[in-house]
Amino acid sequence: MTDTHSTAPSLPFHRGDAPLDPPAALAEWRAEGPIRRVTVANGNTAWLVTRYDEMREVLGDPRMSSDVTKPGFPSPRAEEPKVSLGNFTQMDPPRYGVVRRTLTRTFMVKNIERLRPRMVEMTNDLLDAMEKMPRPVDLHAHFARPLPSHIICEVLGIPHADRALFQANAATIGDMSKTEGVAFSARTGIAEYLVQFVEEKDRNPGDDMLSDLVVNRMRTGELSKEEIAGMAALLVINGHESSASMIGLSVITLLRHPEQLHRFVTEPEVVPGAIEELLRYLSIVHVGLRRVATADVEIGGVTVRKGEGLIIPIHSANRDPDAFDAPDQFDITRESRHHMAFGHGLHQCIAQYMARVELQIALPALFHRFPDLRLAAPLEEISFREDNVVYSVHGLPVTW
Amino acid sequence: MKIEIDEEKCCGAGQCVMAAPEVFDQREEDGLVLVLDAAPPQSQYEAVRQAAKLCPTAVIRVAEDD
Ligand code: SF4
Repeated sequence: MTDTHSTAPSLPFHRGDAPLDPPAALAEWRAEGPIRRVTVANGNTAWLVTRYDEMREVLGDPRMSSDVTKPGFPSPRAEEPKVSLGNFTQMDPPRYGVVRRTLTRTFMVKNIERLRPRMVEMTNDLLDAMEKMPRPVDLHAHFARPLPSHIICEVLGIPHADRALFQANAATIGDMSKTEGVAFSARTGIAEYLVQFVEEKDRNPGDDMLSDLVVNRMRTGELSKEEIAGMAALLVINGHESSASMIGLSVITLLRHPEQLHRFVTEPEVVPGAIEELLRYLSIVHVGLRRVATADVEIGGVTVRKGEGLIIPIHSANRDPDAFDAPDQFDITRESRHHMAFGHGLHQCIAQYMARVELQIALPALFHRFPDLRLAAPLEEISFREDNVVYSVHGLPVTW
Repeated sequence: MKIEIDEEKCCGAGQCVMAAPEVFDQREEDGLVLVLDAAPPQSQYEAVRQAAKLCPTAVIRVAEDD
């Protein structure tokens, strides 16, 4: 739809006094019907898909485009989106497939498993440092944020030294109160900074992702230097933000369920399933995945016209009672593997196994190191980040 | 049970390997799906069905015995 100033409601972000649950309106709308109109940031309307099954359908449909430059694409910001080089999340096939397949080797299960011992070391180093700090400690600043950042930098083969730059920029990019121009500069800032490492790998290839891309893709002419830097920037940004958020919110969630936390800490075999449940329950991407239809498509009984935008709120899919029994209950023993926290379809998160292993290592290690870990402030005083593409905490004071 | 795959559509997310590691692997050279056992034993049926369901791009087709 391209009519301006629609009167349909917008996608809600505010969570009130239930900071771990999606905004209440999403459940009401889901009960009312599988799809409805909403207003997007630029004042136009788009379709909001409300249920798990229909969301899977949309995300698995090749007629749905991720190209933000297509008219009707429902951007989370009011301004025209700017495309940054190498951002494969915004590409469609066939180019998308070509670019994605340059990365699948790096992130495949086997290669992430090979990295596990290093991830354990990096986790322990941060816990060692935390142990020496005066309490209370900001867990978000000293553990949840640096760990994923160290890990993704290691995978790419770049130094951690400039992580402050990455962290500031990564938070800006997702901040919906910032304009597209500001977010774009932050994005390109990281990519421009990373170009030097691409050049360095060309002179001196090592055993890391950037070297792999330089040797096997840049030298063959498949990818340009700038594209590789852009892809690396995307991985750095997403690698920072989402796992950091998951660590902090998972700590809060587990502390609120002491019996389940006890099992989590004492029964290692429940950990992988518990991580899936945390991914389902918390579903941190809370602005919805975005697509635009490239043909007329029937969804949930309505015809979505070519050129109309769709919003797919995966955090709401993961609370759909038709997909999960008693979905608002946190239960580490449930079967939650079919959650959509990593999306669905050909854009499903490429680094999902890395994220899983990070959480499988980080959370048990944290609670083993600090068996008395607790929040150093009441939950009501924790500040939650609602205005960002990735829902998170601003800080998380803990003590032990 | 017989497993068929449509490799063209594989996006290398590894869901199949996580669900049924004895039946699926990823190729060392490109991380795309590799079927280790196209006619798996009965003990693997549940895991294979789960893999087919979780695969984000519907790569895995399972023909059940009748
Ligand atoms: S789950 Fe599907 S897309 Fe992912 S690696 Fe296996 S076959 Fe490929």
